[in-house]
Amino acid sequence: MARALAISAIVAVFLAAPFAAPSYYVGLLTKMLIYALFAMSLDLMIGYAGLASLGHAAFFGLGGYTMALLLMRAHASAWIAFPAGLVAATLGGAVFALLALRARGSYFLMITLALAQVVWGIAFGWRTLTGGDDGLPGIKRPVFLISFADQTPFYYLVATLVGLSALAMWAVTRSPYGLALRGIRDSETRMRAMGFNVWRHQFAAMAISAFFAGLAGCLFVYNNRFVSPDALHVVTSAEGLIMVIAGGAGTLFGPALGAGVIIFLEDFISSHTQRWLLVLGVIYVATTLFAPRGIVGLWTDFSTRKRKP
Amino acid sequence: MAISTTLRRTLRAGLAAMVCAGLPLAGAGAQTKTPIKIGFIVPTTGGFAPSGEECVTGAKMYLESIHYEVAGRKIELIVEDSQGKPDVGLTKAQKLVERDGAQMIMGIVSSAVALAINDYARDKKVPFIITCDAGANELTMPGPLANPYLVRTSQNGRTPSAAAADFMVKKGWKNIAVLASDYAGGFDTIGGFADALCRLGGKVTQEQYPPLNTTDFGPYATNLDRKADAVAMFLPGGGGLRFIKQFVELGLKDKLPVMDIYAQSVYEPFLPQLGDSAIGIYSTLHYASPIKSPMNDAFVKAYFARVKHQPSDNAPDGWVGAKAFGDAAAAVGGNVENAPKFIEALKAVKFDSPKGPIALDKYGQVIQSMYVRQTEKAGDGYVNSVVATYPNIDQFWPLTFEQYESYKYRYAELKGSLTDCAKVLEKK
Repeated sequence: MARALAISAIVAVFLAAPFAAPSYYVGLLTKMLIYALFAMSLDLMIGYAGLASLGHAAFFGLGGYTMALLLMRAHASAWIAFPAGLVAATLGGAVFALLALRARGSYFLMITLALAQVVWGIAFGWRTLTGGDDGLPGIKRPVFLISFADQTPFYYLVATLVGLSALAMWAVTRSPYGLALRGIRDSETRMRAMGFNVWRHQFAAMAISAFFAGLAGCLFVYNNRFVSPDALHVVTSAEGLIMVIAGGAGTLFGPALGAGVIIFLEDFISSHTQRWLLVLGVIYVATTLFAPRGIVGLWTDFSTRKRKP
Repeated sequence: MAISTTLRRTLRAGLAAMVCAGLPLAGAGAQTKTPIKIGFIVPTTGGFAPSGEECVTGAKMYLESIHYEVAGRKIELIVEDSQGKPDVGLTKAQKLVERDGAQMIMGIVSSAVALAINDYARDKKVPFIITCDAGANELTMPGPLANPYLVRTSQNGRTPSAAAADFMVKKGWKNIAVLASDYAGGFDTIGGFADALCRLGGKVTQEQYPPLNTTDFGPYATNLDRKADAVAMFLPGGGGLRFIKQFVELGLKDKLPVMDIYAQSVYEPFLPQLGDSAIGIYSTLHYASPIKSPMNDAFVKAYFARVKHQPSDNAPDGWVGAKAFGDAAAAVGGNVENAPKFIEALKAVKFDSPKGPIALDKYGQVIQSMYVRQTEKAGDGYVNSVVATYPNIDQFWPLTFEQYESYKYRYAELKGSLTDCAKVLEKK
């Protein structure tokens, strides 16, 4: 009951935001939602499949770049370019899985990092196609039956897609498949002994995760009306990792919250002091020291302790 | 538990600030005596922070000289950090315009950030004055990127290259080995150089593209074509500095004169590190701190008193941008809210500056002097003395826009075929 109330309250807040908040905050909220989707997709891999990756920006950028290239170079309609971006990201996830799933732990981390750097290198170096480090400017926001060019309709498009994606990811984690994934995360050998095909489960997890990261990437490109190799950069991957850790890995809702808080703090603190990186650094260190399971972990600790005096 | 309360308190404070900060927007608007707010976007963290900070300092020096006031309106300068990232720059532009109520965007060091903000500024009809390094040529040329609300008072990519080629041919150096960093800016700059050189009857004999952040330039220096008359290079971000050191160690400096397009190795803050190695290196730039004029003398003195080193081009660029703003705002009686009129006034400004005389062309790009400098010892330090001046040259110099447009290949597309003058000069 309380949960239903909380969820409808959250939905109401997001629906009402464009009427209540000045336009700048609608833009900021759009950005938060896009990063929330990116962080949730990464959480599927880290928190549920137990695969810590430093190459997640590759899927984000693959989606965004594929869509941008089709729009700008092939003058395709958004009806083709947008789904194509999602397909490219998913395929990217599958290819990464084929190459990287032979390793575990920090080795997996290094392989995903290396693969992502290859994608970044292509975007950076293939100037005639991708525009190199100048990127691709001048992308128009989509017209899907109605125009999403203005900030408010675009915000609703993003909010709807992110909401549906969150629901879908939540359903995945609650499904028997999701439970098996969690089993693999906790003990791979035991799950293998029980007859689960570990590789196939993780392969699917990477592809699903890449699909949602690609969706975030496409929305990111539409939001900025611009894409540059920064979207593919290792810093973007690391930012996603920080959002997941700060929010609480393996909770889905946590990384979304983490993304929102970090985007807001970056924006808020950097407007007030040039030393904002220092402030953020202190916050990150404090989070790892005092809330190693993230914001959500902190909250559950707090609420369970309150219940049992 | 204590932690969670603090966390909640912080969040609550943040939310409160968010709400409060949104409120003043409602009051601002038509009244003319409200302050003029300038949103100044530069990187203040990361590798390009020094350029950004110097540019801001230059702008502040001018604004202080008019006491932050023009046509009876106070001027508020709001500096935001782009981190050199396009999407952050765009978010900051939105924040400045939509939340803080800034009437214009200034600054910008990275071309990618400029390109990301360009569309936003054009849609919102916000005057966009590029006053720092962002030199992407096409921003101020007719074409898909053209923006009627954009002016650039700093520089563009190709003019220092054209001046470098002209100077070298006049010196009798016609066969040139070139080095440029392997990225967009590098291809643009060195392509522009090859184009100018070919038109003047010279020739590129060898092209090398070390990656950005190369640490060992030994192989590139060893590989240099010794039969060439001279070397021309564009190696930004510390690359030029490392190259020159190894170039000198190999004993090549007496055999091959060096032209540093854009002065990336003999950048003023690097000169003490280079020491005697820097002596004799030529460079082209739209500024040199020893320019002899009362205005520049005063500027260099004031800048030195402030930050204790010689200014590079960034500080005068910031100063010129702020002055262009000030003059244009005065010309429209402080009514900068009327963007088309304000831009018209900006394009009409004409004044003298530490860089030399300043004017803008009809595309909004600055017309200014280009200097060929040579590094020499002065007292216990080093300076870049002016050895040739190309006064009042525009962005297409020595071509017209039509001539520039008539070539088949853009500069960046010529990578790998610079030695082939027929291709470089091929017409559409």
